[in-house]
Amino acid sequence: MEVVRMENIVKSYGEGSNRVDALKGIDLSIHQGEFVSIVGASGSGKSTLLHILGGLDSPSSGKVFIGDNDIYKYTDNELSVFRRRKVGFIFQFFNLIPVLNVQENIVLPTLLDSESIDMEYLNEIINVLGLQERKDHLPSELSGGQQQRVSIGRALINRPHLILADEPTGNLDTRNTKEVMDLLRFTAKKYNQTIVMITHDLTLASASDRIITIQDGKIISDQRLTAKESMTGGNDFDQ
Amino acid sequence: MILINSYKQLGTKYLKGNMKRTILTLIGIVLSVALISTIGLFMKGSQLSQIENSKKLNGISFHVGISNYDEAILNKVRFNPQIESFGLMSQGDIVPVGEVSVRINFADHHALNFLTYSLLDGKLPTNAHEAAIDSWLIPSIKKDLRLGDSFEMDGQSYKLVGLLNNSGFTQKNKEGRLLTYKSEFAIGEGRILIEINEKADFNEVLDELKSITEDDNIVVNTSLILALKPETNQSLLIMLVIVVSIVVISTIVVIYNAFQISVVERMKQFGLLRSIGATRKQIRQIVMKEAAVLAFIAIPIGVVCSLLALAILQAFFLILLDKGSDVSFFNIDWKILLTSSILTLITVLVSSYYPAFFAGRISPLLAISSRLSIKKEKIKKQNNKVLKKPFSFPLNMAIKNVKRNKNRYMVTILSIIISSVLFITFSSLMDIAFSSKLVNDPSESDLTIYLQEENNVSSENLEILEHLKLIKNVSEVSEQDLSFKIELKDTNQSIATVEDIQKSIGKKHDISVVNNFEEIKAKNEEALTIKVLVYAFIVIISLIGSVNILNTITISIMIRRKELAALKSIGMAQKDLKKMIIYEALIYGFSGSLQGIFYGCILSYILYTAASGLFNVEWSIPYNACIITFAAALLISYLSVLLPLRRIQQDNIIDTIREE
Repeated sequence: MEVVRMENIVKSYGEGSNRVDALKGIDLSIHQGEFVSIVGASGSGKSTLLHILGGLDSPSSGKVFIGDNDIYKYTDNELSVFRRRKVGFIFQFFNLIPVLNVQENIVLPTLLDSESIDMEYLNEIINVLGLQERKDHLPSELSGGQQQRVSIGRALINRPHLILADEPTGNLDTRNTKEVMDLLRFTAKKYNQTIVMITHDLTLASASDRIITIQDGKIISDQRLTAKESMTGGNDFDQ
Repeated sequence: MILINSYKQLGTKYLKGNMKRTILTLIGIVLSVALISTIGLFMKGSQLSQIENSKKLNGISFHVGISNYDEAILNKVRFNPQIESFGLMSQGDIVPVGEVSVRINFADHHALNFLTYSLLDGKLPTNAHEAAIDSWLIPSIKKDLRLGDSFEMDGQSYKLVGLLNNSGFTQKNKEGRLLTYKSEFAIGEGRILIEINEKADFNEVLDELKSITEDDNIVVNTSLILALKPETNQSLLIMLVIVVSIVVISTIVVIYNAFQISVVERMKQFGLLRSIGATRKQIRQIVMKEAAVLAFIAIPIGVVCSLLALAILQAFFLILLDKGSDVSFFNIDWKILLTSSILTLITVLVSSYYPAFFAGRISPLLAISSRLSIKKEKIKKQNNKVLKKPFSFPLNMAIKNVKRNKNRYMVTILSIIISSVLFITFSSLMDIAFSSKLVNDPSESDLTIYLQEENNVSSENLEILEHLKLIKNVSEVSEQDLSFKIELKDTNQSIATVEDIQKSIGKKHDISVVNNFEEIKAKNEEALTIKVLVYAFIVIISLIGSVNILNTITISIMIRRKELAALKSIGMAQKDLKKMIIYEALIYGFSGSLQGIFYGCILSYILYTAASGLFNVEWSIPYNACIITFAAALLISYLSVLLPLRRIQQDNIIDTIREE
């Protein structure tokens, strides 16, 4: 089942001679439950693509369908609600709210919905992320890996269909990178989520189902990896 | 359950997490409420004390007197619902007593009530056999006459029940007053004394009264009416409006600045909230909630502070004046407190609205990269090539930094300008008020002796002068035309001294002695009240101004933390960085205070013109206030950078550059 469809997405900045084309006509379709890696050099347009996919930045032309809805027909309000309920973001710099503790940071998207908190699910997430001992700590009291786990929790709390990750391990050491990647893969499978991840680390990308390479604002390769090729490393959680 | 249960609590969390900033903002709001309500209470209090003073000074509390009335007029007055009460009073014969004479006055019950303020001691007469007299008459009527004693006057026997205060006028004319009770008056006898209902429109009632009789027959107690109905006084109203608007504007600047910093500091957080699905409205709500929380904490504190300030002043007066209870401007007027609270609440919400709006507009992309925040600031390009040599490098950088962003420059400087304008305007107005006759009348001395001899010989005057100097209680004597002005050592002994003078000099020469002591005392008390209140007011204004400057300068530096870290990373020494920032602050202080001085002088001139009816003194440039403003602005600007500088020094260069 197709969850994401991009049609001829163009994004350009500036006018006239200053005009820079970040994306030059991207067509893309992503299926339910896929783990997609987007790779490309710095400035290739991969981040812009992810932002447009998540409703953070609007394209200059083209359409983005999530489910069956063209998200750039939404008003700013609807777009906010869409991000809140359907998308979970994970950033390179974890972007936690410094005055909130671990639990509060995780439940923030639910609070924005003025919904009551599903404590059972929250505890499940905290357990899966291995943050039981840390749930009352402030972000400043956590290591980088722990902070990134909190931000994964925040991305999961509203059970979104789509997880967008922008270099989620870019700021972590090798051990934490492995931990976070395993966790991402595990939770995606557990909650049947689609993941789109930006990375420039080919080793990480090779652990996904599909690698899309972008160069100068265009897709130059779209490679599906068979289960054999894909290095599934998430055995710690796969039981 | 320790979890927060609404995203709106984010604001409160932030307030708790940034106690220093929160307290600074709270102080700003507290001072504003305190200032506005103190102005209100002060106005109300001084109005009350002015009413009291007017009554005391003239000894009467009626508003209008009508003479030559007929029955029709009396009935019109009697049945006018706008008239609170009225009484009748008439003058009888003048009875000579020794060297002086006594004018007999009759008044009915209501009219006597209007004369309560003339009473120095004892009570007012309640029947035709009781009387109150001017206290200076006592020696002339009967030596050692005391309250409760009886005396004869014009074939009538009266019991002395009260003493009236000594007015200069009766003493100079040697015609004292005797006041007694009379219940029945013939139509047209004496005057009708009228008190108008305080809620009524005085002008309307006065016009109505003027229409039923001739103008010559009406006496209006203007000073009392002016004190009762200050709104009829245009210039006072204009001044009040200008003063309150200045306070409101300065509050707006303080709150706006405080919120703008707190929003700018959290741009990335708001961007993040946007990216995980907060709507613009929700972001605005978070910021507005913070403003509301601060206002609800600060406003009651401000009200308490203003009451406390007034109570302290009141206590101060109790100690300072021998009859402190007379000056009672401490009066809790709930209407004023409520109005100033609401005014401040509105001001806080209005001034935090733009920062909230701005926070709502922050792009979610800010959470991911800080590209945008750099792009957004349009830096004014300057033509001078590289950094010019004549100035030191830090100074050059400082000038470039100040000049590069017009908006930020304006906001920072605006707070300094407003603070300067406030200080200059008020202190210069106060100077004018103090040097005008509104407050002081230095021409009065404690006692004045008028010589009433036809053939005046200067050698005789000299003799009197020498004689006066010998009297025990006299500290200073000066001769003026046909009178001698005397300053006393102990003013409480004034009555005894007057007797001494009468006994010694009064035997040889025809003199009249006027005891001004009570009038002067009343005036001095009034002047002191105003002075203390005004200085307290100026202190609060200066405090508000300082907090304001501190806030804005702190913002303008904290906003640029990352940039400053970058400067350090490329090798700018801590010393030069410090110099650069201090230079920046001094440039702000310098140009802000100069502009403030300019506008302050203009505003004080405008206020002076608006209130020229009240003062009779020339306006002049308030040099002292200008110099103080200039020095204080530089000093406060310098002090305000010390704290943020310390924080910047502690910053880890790499962390600051990479993150936020």
